[in-house]
Amino acid sequence: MIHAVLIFNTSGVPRLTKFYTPLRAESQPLLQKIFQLVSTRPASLCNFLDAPELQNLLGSKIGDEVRVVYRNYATLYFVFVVDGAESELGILDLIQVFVECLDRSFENVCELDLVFHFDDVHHILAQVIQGGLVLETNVDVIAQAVDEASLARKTSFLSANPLALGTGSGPRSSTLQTPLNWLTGKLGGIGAR
Amino acid sequence: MNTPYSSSGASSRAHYALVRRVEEARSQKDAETYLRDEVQLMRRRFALSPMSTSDIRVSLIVLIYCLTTSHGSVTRTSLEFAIPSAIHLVEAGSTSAEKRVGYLFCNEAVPKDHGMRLMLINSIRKDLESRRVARMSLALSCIIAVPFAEVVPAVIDLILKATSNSSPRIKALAIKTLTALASVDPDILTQERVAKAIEPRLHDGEEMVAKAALEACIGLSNTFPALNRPTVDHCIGVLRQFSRGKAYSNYSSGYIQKICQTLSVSLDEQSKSSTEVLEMALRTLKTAIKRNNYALGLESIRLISKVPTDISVAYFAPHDEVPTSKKLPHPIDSIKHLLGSQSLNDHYVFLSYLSILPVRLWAGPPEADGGSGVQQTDPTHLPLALSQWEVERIITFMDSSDEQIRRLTLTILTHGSSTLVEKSYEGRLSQLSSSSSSPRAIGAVYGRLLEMADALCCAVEDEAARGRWSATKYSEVCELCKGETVSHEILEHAVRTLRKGKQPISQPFVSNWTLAIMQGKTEGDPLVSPSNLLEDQSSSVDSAPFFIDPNTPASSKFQARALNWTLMLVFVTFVCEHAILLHRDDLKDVVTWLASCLEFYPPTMQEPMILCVIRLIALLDDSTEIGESTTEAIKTCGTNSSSRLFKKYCDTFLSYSNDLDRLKALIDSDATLSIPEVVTKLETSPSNTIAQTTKAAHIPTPSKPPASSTTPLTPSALAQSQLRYAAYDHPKGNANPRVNSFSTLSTSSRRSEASSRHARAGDEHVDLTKTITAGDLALAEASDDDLLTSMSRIAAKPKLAKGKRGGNDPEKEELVKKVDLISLDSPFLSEPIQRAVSSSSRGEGSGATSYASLPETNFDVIWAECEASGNSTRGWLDAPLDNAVLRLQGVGIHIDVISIDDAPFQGELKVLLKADPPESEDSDSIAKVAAVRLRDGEEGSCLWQMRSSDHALLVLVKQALCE
Repeated sequence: MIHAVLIFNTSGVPRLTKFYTPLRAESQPLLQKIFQLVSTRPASLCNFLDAPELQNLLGSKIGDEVRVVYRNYATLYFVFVVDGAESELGILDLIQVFVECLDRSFENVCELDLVFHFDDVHHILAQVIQGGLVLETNVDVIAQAVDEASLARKTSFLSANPLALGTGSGPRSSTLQTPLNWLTGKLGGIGAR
Repeated sequence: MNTPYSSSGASSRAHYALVRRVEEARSQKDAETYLRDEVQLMRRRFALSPMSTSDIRVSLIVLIYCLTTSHGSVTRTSLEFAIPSAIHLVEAGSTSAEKRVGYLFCNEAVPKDHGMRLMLINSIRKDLESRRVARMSLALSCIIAVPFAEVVPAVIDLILKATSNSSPRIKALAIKTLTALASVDPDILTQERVAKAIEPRLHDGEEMVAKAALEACIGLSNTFPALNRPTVDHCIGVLRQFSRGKAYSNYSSGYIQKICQTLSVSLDEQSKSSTEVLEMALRTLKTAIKRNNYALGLESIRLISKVPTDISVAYFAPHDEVPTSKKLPHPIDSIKHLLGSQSLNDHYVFLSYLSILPVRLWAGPPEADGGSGVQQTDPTHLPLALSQWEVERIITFMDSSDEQIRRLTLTILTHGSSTLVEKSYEGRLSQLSSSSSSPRAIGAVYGRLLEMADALCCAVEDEAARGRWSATKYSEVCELCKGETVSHEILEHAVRTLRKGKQPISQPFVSNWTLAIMQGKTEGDPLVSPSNLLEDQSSSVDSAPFFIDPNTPASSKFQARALNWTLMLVFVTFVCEHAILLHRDDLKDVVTWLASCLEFYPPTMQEPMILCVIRLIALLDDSTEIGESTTEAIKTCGTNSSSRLFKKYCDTFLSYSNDLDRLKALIDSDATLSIPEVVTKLETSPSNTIAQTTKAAHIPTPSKPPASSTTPLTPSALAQSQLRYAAYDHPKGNANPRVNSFSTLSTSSRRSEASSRHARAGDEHVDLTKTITAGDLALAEASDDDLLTSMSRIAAKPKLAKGKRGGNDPEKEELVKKVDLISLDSPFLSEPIQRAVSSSSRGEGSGATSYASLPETNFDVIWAECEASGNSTRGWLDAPLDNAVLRLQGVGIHIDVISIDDAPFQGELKVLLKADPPESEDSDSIAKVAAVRLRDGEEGSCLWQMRSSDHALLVLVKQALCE
C-alpha cells in the first residue's frame, strides 16, 4: 500500500503532501525526517531506501517494511512512502507516470504550478492513486480523465455563471519561472532520477 | 518570484500575495509568521459575515496552502474554524470546482474522527444520487480517502448500483469504495450481493475496473472461497494470452502486473503443480526484461517463486526429460546483464530479483563455495547459476556506496552461503585488528562489519542463540577500539545497526545478548561460529557456551570488570531501550553488575550507567530486589565522585530505591525508553533533586526573580501556566500547541517519537553549560543520530546559545515549555509576572517597558484610566482592519497589537500606542499612551474608538485614522 505521496522542493518546502493512512502525530516531524533521508543521498545512489525509523511516525496500518521510493526532477523531489506489499519498482514507474501526467496537464509544468494549482495536482493524483492503491497507470487515460474533468468544470462554471467571460480556473498555458525541463519522453525507465 | 499575478494562475489576489510573501520571506520564521497571520485573517473573515461559495472556495485554497507549506505553525487543529464552511461548500457548491475544493479540505484538514464529518453524509449521498460523473467521483473519492462506519448504511445501495455505472471510472471507484468501507465495516465483504456485484467486473473490458475487481476479489475470497477459482482462472487466461505474445498490445503492463500479483497471492495447489504457470511467468519475465519493464519483471519473478521449488528445480534440471532446447531460459539468465551496469538502480533491480528467487534455483548445492568449489550433484538443488565473475561482482556489492544495496547483498549472500559472509567478516576483522589506522579514518569499515554481523544474525533462527552470537560480534568490533576511549564511529554504527537492523528484537534475544555481554568471553570459551549455529538451528540454550545456571548467585555469575568503554555504552543503551523485554531475574543481575562496575569508570561513563540502573529498578517489583551491595556500591561511588551530576543521579537512585512506587509513577513501566527519555522523565518530577539542581537557574522564585522573568510571555502561555486544575475539558483539537506539547510530554502512555524529540529538544538548555562527555555521547547516540550533531554544536557554542536565550520566539516558547514541565505545582511561577503587571499599572519603576512587554494584560486598565482624562473619540474608517493598523504604524510611535481573539474586548483588535517621555525629563515622567479599539465592519470598513492619556497624542492618532 502507498502511505504517502510527497513533493518537496530542494529547500525542503513541501509542495504536495498526501497521506493515505492517518498519522500518529502531526506530519511535520515526518516530513522533515523524510526530506532529510532523501536530500542527503547523492544522485548516484539508487532510488529506494528502507526507512524503519519512519514506523513510529506513520500510521498504525503500516507494516514491518517501510520503504521510501523517490525521484528527483530539477528542483523537486517526488517521494512515495510504501510498505512491503507494494512493488518498489512499480512505484518508481508510477512516479514517472505521475510526473508525465502533471507535465501533460500543465504544459511544461514547473514548481509554481504545484503552488498555485495544488487542487489540480491533487485531482491528477486522485486519477492515479485512490486510498493508497494504484487506480490507473496509463498516462493517456489519466490525461483524458483530467481533460474531461476540466471540461466539466468549465461547463459547470459557465452554467453557474452565464454572464462570465472567463472560463474559471484551470491549468495555465504560459511558461512560468523555474521550468523543470522535463523531457518526459526521454526519462522513461529506471535510470532517470 | 517574478511571475505576475495575471500569469500565475492563482485563485485570487490574496492567494497570490500570500504566496509571494511566503516565497520571498527572508527566513523560515518570517514565512511562518505570514502563514499564521493569514490563518488569523481568515479566521476573522469566516467569523464575520456569511460568505459566498466562491469566496469560501478561494479562502479554503489559501488555507490548504498554509497547511501544506507551514513547518508546524499551522496545523489541522488551527484550521478547525473553517470546517463548517468547507462542509457547506460541499453541500452548496454550484460548480464541481467548488465542491472539489470543499471535499479536498475535508479530506486533508478534517481529522478522521472529527464529529463534523457526519455532516458530510447527506452531501455524499446527494452527489452519489446525481448523474454527474464528476460529482459521483468526488463523493466516492471522499469515502475512499476517509471511510467511516456511519456512512455505510446511507450509501451502500448507491455504491452497489454504481458498480454497474456506464463510466469505467465510477465503476472502479465504486469497487474501491466497497473495499475501503470494508476496513471500517468488515461485514460488507460477507454480503453476497457485494460479491455478486464485483465478480462480473473481473471480465470488464476496462482495465481500471478489472484491476479494482481483482483487488476486491482477493479480500472477498476469504469469505467466499468459491470466488477464488474464477479469479485464478481469469488471471491464468489473461497471462496465457499475454505470454504467448498474442495480446501484447491488448493489455497494459500495469494490468499484467496486477494479474501476476493476484496469482502470487491466490494461486491454488492445483495451479501451482502445473508447469504452465512457471512457463507463463518465465515468458512474461523475458518480455518484461526485453522492454526494460523491471516492475513487471519483479512480479514475474515473484510468481516464479510461488511455484513449488521441486517443480522449478525439476524443470531446469539438465537431465530432465524435457529437451533443453524446448525449455525456457533460467530467470537468472534474463537478468545477468544488469550486473555489468554501473547504475546502482540496476544493481538494486538485480538484487531484488535475486532476493525473491528461491536459493535452490540459483545458489547451487550447499557445498558450492562462491562458484570456485567443485560442485556435487544434488537432485534438490540446481547447479550454481552464476559464473565466478558474477559471484565476485555480487560480493563487491557488499562494499557498495549505497547502504540499501549493501544490506540487500548481505541478506542474499547469507541465505545463499553464510560461509562467504562469515569469511569476509573474519578477514576484515583481523585486518582491522592489525591495522595502525586511526579508528576515525576507518570508521566506515566498522559499519560494514556490523552490517555483516547483523545479516549473519538474521540467518540464525534460534533467537537465544542469535542474541548470544550478536553479542559476541558486537564485543569483537568494540574491542577494535583499544584503550579507555570511546569510539564515536563504532558507537554510532552499533546503535544504528541495532536499531535499524533487520533482526527482530525479542525477549530471548535481548536476554541472551545482555547476559553474554555481562559474562564476557572467558579463556577456553569457544567462540560461537555462525556456521555452526546455522547447521544446528535446534541447539538449545543449555548447549550454548554462554549458558549460565540460573540458580547461581548474580555476584558469582558476572564478575565486576572494566568492560571496553565503547561496548559499555552500547550495552547500557541497548539494555535501557529494551529493558521491558528482560526477565526480572535478568534485571536484577544487570542492576547488580552495573553497580559493581561503576567504580572502574570515570564520571562521564558513570552517568549513562547509573541512568540505566535507575530505569531498570523501575521495572522491579520490590525494593528488596535491589541488593544491599548495589546500594552500597552506588553510595560509595557517589560519595567518591567529583561529578556534581553523577552525585545527583546517585542521590536520585538512593531516594527512589526505597520507594519504587514513586519511581514507577514517574517512569512508565511498559514503555520503551531511551536514556535521554529517562533523564526527561526524572527532570519532570517536581520533587526530584535533579530537577531542583539542574533547573535551578530557570525556575523563577519569589525572593529572587531570575533574568528570565522579564522575558515577555504570551498571555495564553501565562494563563495556561497558572492553571492548576482543569475547570472543564478542552475541545478535542486544542489549537494551542503549547498545551499539546505539555500533555504529550507528561503522558507517557501516549509517547511518540515526536514527543520524545520535543522533550529532547527541551533538554538542550539544561546541557548548555556542560562540556560534552562520553556520557553525553552515549545519551546522544541513544537518543537519535541527529542529536549527536546538535550536542556537538551546543558544546562548541555554549556561550552563543546562552546569549540568545529569550532573544527570539522559539527561545521564549522553550522557556514556556520548561516552566510548564518543571513547575506545574509550583506556587511561584506567576508571581514575578503579576508583580511586573501591577507595578506597571501603578506607573512605578519601568512601567513604560511593562506596557510594551505585557500590553494585553494592561489594555483594560489603561482603557479605564484614560477615561478619567476625558480624551476620547471614535469614528469610521473606510478601510479594513489591516489598513487601520498600517496607519497607526505610520504615526511613528511604538505600537502593540492585541489579537481579536484575546481578552479584553474579544472580537475587537486592540492597539496600544506609547510615546516615550522626553529624555530631558526626570525619570518619574509617565509615558503618553493611546488605546485604540478596532471593530471590523461591513464591506471592508471598520469602527474605531480611542482613549488617550494625552490630548496631543489623541489628535495625532486621530489624524492618522481620518486621513
